[in-house]
Order: sequence, then C-alpha cells, then structure tokens
Amino acid sequence: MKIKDGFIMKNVAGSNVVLPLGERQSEIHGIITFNEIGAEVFNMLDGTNSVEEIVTKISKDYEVSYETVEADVKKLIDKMRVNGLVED
Amino acid sequence: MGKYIIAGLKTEFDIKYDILRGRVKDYEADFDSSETDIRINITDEYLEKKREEIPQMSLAAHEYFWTGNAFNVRLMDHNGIMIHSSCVEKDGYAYLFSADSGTGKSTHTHLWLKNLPGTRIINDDKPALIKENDIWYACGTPFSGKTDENINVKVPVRAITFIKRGAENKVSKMDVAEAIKLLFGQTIRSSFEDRALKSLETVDSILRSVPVFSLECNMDDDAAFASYNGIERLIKNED
Repeated sequence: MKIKDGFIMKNVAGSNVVLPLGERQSEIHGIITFNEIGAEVFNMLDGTNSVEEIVTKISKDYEVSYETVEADVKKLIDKMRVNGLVED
Repeated sequence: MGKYIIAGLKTEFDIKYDILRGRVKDYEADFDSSETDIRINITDEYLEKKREEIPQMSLAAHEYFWTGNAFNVRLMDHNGIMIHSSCVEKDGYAYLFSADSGTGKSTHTHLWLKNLPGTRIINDDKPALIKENDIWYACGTPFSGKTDENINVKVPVRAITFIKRGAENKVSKMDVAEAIKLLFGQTIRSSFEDRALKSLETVDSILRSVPVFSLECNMDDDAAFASYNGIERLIKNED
C-alpha cells in the first residue's frame, strides 16, 4: 500500500499541506492538511513500509499503546483511501 | 517582443490585439533582453484553440487573459504569487480582500474609495505579491480582470482579508490552517512539482509575516469603516 504518485507535502506555517499535481488536480480540488502523525503516516506510506511497521514506529515514537495507534492509523488510512490518496 | 516591467520582473511578450496593448502601456520599459526574467509566447494556434473552447470571448480577450495567466504562473518561479483579490491602498499600505467571484471583493474596496481618504485601487482582481528584503509587497499588474483598474506601483502589504457576506460588519483573526486553505483556493495551482513546491514556500513565507483576517460585511458605507478600523485594531493589538 502506498500514496499514489502526484502528491507533494510540505509544512506551511505549521500545517502539513498536501497538494495534488497534474491530473490529480481533477480528482482532488482543494488541499489536504495533516497533523504531525498524519504527515508521518503519509511519508511512511511510500510502498516500503507495512501498516504494522508504521504503527510500531509511531507507537514507539509517541509512547502510545500499539492498539490505540493501530486503530487511529487504520482509520486515517481508510480516510486517505476514500479521498483517493492511496493505492494497493 | 514588447518589453514591460511587471511586479519588478522584466517581462517580454508580443501583442496582436488592442485590449492587451491598451492595458500594458503603464508597464512599458526598456532593458537588455539578456536580463529578461519572464518571456511569454502565446501562439496564434493556442489562441484559436482557447477561442474554440470559450467562443464567447474574442481573440483579443483571450490574448489578454492567457498572457496574464502565463505571467501569473511564471511569477511563481520568481517567488511571487497572484492572489485573486481586490487590492486597495490606504496611506501607503496595501489591503487585499479575497473571496470567490461574486462575493463582492470589488464592491467592498470601492466602499473604501468612497468613504476613506487616502485610498486607491492597486489591482481590482489579481494583484501580484512579491517579497523584497523580507517585506511582502502588493503590485499592480496590467492583468486586473474585467476592469482596467490597476496602477503600476509596489506597496507593502498590511493584511489579507477573506470576505463573507453578512448582515453585520465584523472583522476577526483567521487561524493559519483556514488561511492556507483559502489562499490556495484563490491562486493559480501549478501542475508541476517544482512550481507547486515554490508556491507552498511562498504561502509559508506570507503567513509568517502578513496577518490574515476574516471579514463579514454588508454593502453599506459602514462596511468600509468597520473593516478598516477592525483590521487596524487587530493588527495593533498584536504588536
């Protein structure tokens, strides 16, 4: 699972802003913003990490239980999928 | 090619029709072509193609529109940005009022002209913002939408304000996340990664030094006083 090609993310005045490029602009009109953890998930979804690896890293970095992080990350990825950001 | 300095950028393009020719007069300049920042080449084929897509607009109107669009896209390469807004100057500072078309940006700034002394329109629809020595300036450009209201000046930006129609007149501070969303909705979006990244850097820089407000306003003369006084009060409270 990974973020589709054609998106860039950058921190703008404290918000992590995702802009669609090229043809993605006809799929997503506005911009997407992520909080710190959302941005980390976005960055880690590059095709080299499994969901388990992402959850493990975040639960370690933020010292939050695996189960709690897993529920949140899965919810976030579902949302990304609905919005057309991720592909399998 | 004709030579113009627009928003401080040495710009070259050819003109075939009267609309554009009439509107760029105040921006004519002379410089060596080796120093050109932006060179725009709108071909006849391109204009014909656009004319087929939008036949209600004359070729002359298409030339004016697409030359302006090309300039505003290329402006991003030079760390500038066009903000779809009506930009009014008061006492040496530029105030931008942005919103979707039809909300009444221009109506609002013209209430400033009518009611507040020391005011003039810098660009009624598409001012260019550029940064020099860490200060953001609003510039008139020849590309000001339907009207020909623009002047060739560069004025420090005091505030960017997003307008909403309301029964009463009220200014409030806008949070940065909301401002980012609205700003990207009122500028040209590039399809290309390099330019899109530059636009993100540009908006970041603007939001770090220019205050952004939300204005709810009606179309009465009072709206001008409430807006100017409200913005100034909020800026002074922050200092």
